Amino acid sequence: MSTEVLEPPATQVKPASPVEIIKKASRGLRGTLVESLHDPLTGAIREADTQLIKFHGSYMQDDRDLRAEREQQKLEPAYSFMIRTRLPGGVVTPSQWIALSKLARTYGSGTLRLTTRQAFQLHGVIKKDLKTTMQGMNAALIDSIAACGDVNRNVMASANPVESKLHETVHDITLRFTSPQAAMESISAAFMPCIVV
Amino acid sequence: MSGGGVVIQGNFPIPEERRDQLQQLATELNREQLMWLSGYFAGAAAAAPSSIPAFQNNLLGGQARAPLANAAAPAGFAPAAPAPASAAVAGPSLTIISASHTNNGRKISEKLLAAVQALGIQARMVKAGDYQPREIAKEKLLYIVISTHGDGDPPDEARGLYEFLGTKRAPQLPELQYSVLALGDTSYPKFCEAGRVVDERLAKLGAKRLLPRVDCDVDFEKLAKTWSDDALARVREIADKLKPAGGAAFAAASPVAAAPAVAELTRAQPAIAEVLANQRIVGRGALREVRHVELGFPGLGALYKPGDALGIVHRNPDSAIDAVLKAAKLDAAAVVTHEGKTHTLLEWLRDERELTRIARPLLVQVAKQAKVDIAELLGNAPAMARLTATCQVSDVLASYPAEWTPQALVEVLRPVTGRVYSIASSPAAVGDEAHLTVAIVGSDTDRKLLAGAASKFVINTPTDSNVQVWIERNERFRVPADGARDIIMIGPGTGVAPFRGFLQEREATGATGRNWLFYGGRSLYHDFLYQLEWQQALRRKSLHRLDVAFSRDQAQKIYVQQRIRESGKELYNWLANGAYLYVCGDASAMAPDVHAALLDVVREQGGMDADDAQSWVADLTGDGRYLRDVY
Repeated sequence: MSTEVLEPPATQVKPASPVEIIKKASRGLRGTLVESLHDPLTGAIREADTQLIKFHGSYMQDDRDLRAEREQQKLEPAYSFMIRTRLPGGVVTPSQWIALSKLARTYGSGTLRLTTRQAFQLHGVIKKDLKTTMQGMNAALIDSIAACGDVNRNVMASANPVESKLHETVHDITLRFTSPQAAMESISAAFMPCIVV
Repeated sequence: MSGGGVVIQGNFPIPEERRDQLQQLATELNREQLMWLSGYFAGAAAAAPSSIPAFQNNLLGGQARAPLANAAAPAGFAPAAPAPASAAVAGPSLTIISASHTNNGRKISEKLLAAVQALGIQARMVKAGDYQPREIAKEKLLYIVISTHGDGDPPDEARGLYEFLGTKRAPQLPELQYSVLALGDTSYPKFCEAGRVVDERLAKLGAKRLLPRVDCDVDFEKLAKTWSDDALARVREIADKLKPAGGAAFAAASPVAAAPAVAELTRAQPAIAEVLANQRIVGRGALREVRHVELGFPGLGALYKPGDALGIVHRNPDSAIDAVLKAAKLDAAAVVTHEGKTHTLLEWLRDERELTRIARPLLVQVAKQAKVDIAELLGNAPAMARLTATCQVSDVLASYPAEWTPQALVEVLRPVTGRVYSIASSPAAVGDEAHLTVAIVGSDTDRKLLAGAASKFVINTPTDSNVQVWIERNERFRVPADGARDIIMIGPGTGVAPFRGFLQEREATGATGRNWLFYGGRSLYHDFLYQLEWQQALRRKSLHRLDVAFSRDQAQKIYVQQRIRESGKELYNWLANGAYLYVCGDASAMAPDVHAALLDVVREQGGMDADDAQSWVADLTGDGRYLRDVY
């Protein structure tokens, strides 16, 4: 008895992109984020982790205006992080907005940016403050999970419940996602432990 | 492919019977085997002492100048004694520098590298960000793949090399053969500008183009391939030409220029050095300014070793001179002869006299001249301390008005004592240069009153100007003679300066011992002195461990001594295994704190009581393995 091994024709297999390779090897999007965040010698995270951290709602950035100057100073670029919230339906309560505003003043550049996809962005958070800032968001029942990266994003639409019956329904649904229980569940979601170090 | 047909001619230093063996070997072995052998002999030659002085010179020179020849011995070959990193290279060694933001440049470089290596030719590829610009002096064969960005700018990672080639410090490169592949975009006005500039700068330094530069647009593939093919062909021609020469490759190595004999420098007999660089090396948020200064003159490298300090003969600033002249009501043009020297008063005050620090004798002399009784002041220690900390000579002269003659003033003032700075470089790495790490006294907001005259002088000494310098030897503070020993370096702030030199020295001499650095500053973002260099050294594995403490980056202040305690176990193990321990920097707080931490570590890890720990550390000092340069 012989078994026939079926292989897909080689020409049709497209090699995985670099990001896909990083994702696949990342142990559920953990990568080496813990090591990167604990590395005291740099304000940056490792190259592969710059891809993975997007799924946790953050981008690493650096001040381009200072790049050349800091290289002259024999210093690495001025790295900082952007944190983007993911708000179901774009709904935010006044107390949540106040909490975000405080975080932006304490750890960020002092500004809050509102995006077309109904998210908030905090800029200029340095590495050592990432954890505290994200914990502060979680305390206000907001999270940043899957706010960046190649994931489905918020739909761009008005969140006003009086606009139409459909808007009202959607708005009602979002309340279920913003319940304390939902937020707590998301905090304990599989990949959060690597951010909450 | 056979390597036959090698004819050995000319002045041949090998006995007849061996010559026949060699001839036979050369006919029987194929090309790859011959390549391997050339590396084998180079490694063996470097490990064996030479009977020919010129050879020794060449090898010693090579040690300092050719750290890239690591790959000289073929893989799998382990000589009896480890060949120094300098083992002379028989045959060409190609370096490919890849300088590109996108991956395109790197891919082209990698492909070319693989093709060259497939021919059995020694080659390496370096990303521009990891390339030390000074290495260029050692290159013989160089290909550069470089992209252009924005308004004709080089990629950030290549900025160092790009700028270095344009300065007057760039070495002449008559032995270098090179070619540049430029990547760009014709929709920008300065198409392939970075490639063009690098190409022209190299040519201007005397290097020869192996191939004309090729400028590629966004559809670069075809042109890049043509250039790569040509580049490969040229390297192959050179390798073929060199191949039969065998040992002649040694003779072709550039002779090492004998170091000019220069007498020991002193403050009284300084040398004139050119300021090659003088730049701020802390970020915008730093509370205290620190500058990196590079000085040089022919022969300087022979005059110092890492651990030594360099003195700068500074001139007092015009403002201080004017203040003194005004307080003493004297004319700058008056001529004064004192202790055999004749200068105008201006020259005395500018070059020869201390105008910043006030000492007790000066105060006494000035009071005497002013006919004031200051016994009470002299007896009041806090008042004296405040006075010396906040006042300069002109303040004292103004406080005790008197009738001065130019002669009396010159006699009363103290001769200037120069400021010396730990040298932050090794001649093995930087040649005839010395680098300094200078904290600018007086830029602290709380100490602005006492702007150190020397610091001010350093700030106001631009690149290309000249300064008078001398060397202060520090024989006690040296890297271990035995390169296999581990070293631990504790140098917060500008105390890190000599350790930059130590690391350069250990790397250039191929020391095999491990290097561990403790650094401390206020903030990771603003005053991590030489951060990029340490990061690169860690990647190169020439620095094995780096522990940092930034005091203001968290609510609780953290200093190096805490890191020492945290790493107590490893630290004790290193020391017990013969490591050297070095401390450099502040003598008033840091050094005693570090010493206390060391005693704690030894007590805990060695299971000793306080007395035993004390004598263990004393033994360390007695062995010359606990060395301090604190001030």
